[in-house]
Amino acid sequence: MAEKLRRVIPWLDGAMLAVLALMPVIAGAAGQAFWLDLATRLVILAIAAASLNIILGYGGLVSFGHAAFLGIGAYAAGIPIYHSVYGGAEWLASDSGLFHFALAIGAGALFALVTGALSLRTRGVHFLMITMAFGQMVYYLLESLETYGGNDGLTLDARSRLPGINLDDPKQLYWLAFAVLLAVIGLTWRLSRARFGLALAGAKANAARMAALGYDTARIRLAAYVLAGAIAALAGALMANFSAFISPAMSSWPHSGELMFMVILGGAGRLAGPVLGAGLFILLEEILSSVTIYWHLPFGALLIFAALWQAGALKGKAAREAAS
Amino acid sequence: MTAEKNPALLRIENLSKVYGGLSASANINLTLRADETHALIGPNGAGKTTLIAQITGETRPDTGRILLKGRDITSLPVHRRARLGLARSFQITSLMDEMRVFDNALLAVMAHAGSPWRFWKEARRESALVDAARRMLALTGLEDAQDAPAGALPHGRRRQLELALTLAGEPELLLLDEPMAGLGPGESRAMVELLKRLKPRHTMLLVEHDMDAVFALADRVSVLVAGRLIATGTPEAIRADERVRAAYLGEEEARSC
Repeated sequence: MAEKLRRVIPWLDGAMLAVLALMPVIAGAAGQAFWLDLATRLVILAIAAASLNIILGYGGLVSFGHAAFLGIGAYAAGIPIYHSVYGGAEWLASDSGLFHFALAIGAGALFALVTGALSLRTRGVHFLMITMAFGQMVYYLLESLETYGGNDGLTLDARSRLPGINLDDPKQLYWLAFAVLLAVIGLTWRLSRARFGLALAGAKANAARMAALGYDTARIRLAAYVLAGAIAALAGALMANFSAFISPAMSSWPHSGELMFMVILGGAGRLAGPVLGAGLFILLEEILSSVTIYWHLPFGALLIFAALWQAGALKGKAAREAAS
Repeated sequence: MTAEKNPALLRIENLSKVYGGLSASANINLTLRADETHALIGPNGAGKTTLIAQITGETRPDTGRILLKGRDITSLPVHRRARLGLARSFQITSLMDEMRVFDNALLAVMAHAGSPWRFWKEARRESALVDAARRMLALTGLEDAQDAPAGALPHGRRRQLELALTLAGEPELLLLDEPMAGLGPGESRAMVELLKRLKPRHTMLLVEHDMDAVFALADRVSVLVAGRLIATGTPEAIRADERVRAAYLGEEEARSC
């Protein structure tokens, strides 16, 4: 059964991407604007999950604070928008999407650089706890920003302005997000096969041996962490534009857990895994939450199944390769 | 060989390391001459692995200095020392188990072929890297297994790959931590032959329990007992040394009878 499921997965990936590529048309034809909303959220979450996949899947770094970058990115877009609408903080006020996205990427990368330099000194559970602590620090920092709504968050009265793209149009916002997702997957694909990706995989497989070979594994991991942080922050800025709303909850640890779910559910270290994972997450959330308010329960069971299956799948793959 | 002809490649000065009251290294002074094969022997728990770990940089000494080619490397991290020409094999075979044998070789080659900071070009299509990795696997007789995960190889072949990874960068100084560990008699003989072939090209510090291998390979032998170097000399001198016999060899021979 596991074998069959494994063969089906590339088709699931393909079908998922095909449906996503056609979603504006499908939603338009069906007259279900809500579908496009779901798909946009899916795609943005998939970008964030894809960035987590770089460090978790390819780098073996189990971070439990990845949502912090979403919050940072969302506020990097939301705060300049707020000031461009309501005045104040002229140096920061801007309605330029290029500025928002650049600020999000820069802030995400900087936060990753500082926190990564500290947290990457540890491994395993300690790394998980430290990343979670940094995530919660961001959460409480954002919550303390009374000007921007504190704990309630802030509704944005404008979206980022981009040359040639109107983000107030749901379809155009969707296409932008989808293009970013494809770019991130493309980048991950090249990266994982380039020298850097091999070195990252080596550091995941055996850090002590890699160091003895002469690799600075700490710097290689840190570079992956910074890249992942920058991409996740970009996803956060897109999310702020999509929901026209920013709140500290975006960076909370349950949200980090959800991103981890998506990566593991879709298959850690698989290129299209985060898309599949985000898709399953959105579907299950929609279906299960309409059936029961305890929808997290079957969701958790599914996650356990996925994790166990992947652990077994790894063994199966090694055995297959040894036999061939 | 004489000291004048062969300057010190590695110099260990007054090295001490204490673990919770237990002296793992007690004021160790040891000089490795360029091109010599130097064996480090001693009973279990004498601190051999701790000494190796301090030379490679995994463990920092409490006091003392380590100099490689006259340069103080005491506070350099592991990877920097590796880049200066210091390579090690591990007592317990240490490979990138989940990666293919070929990728293990590729990573070893890549470590000495420019920077890993390339994000776009496919590494498995860089002909210089691929050719060097293929040569390396051909030399160690592992080319037929190149697509298997390193973790799936039998023990003897894993040791071979381990040694291949260690030799990849033509290191000046080889630290070999029990290369014969877990090998059968035939495999051990093959390993001794292989190390004999490597002897002229590398300076070696060999930690080994197999006394036949030690006396077959070593130019000089140092004996470590309870963190202290009690003797350094030619294999003949060590064999004849009363303190060594009392502390170590006698005990081994007594056990083997």
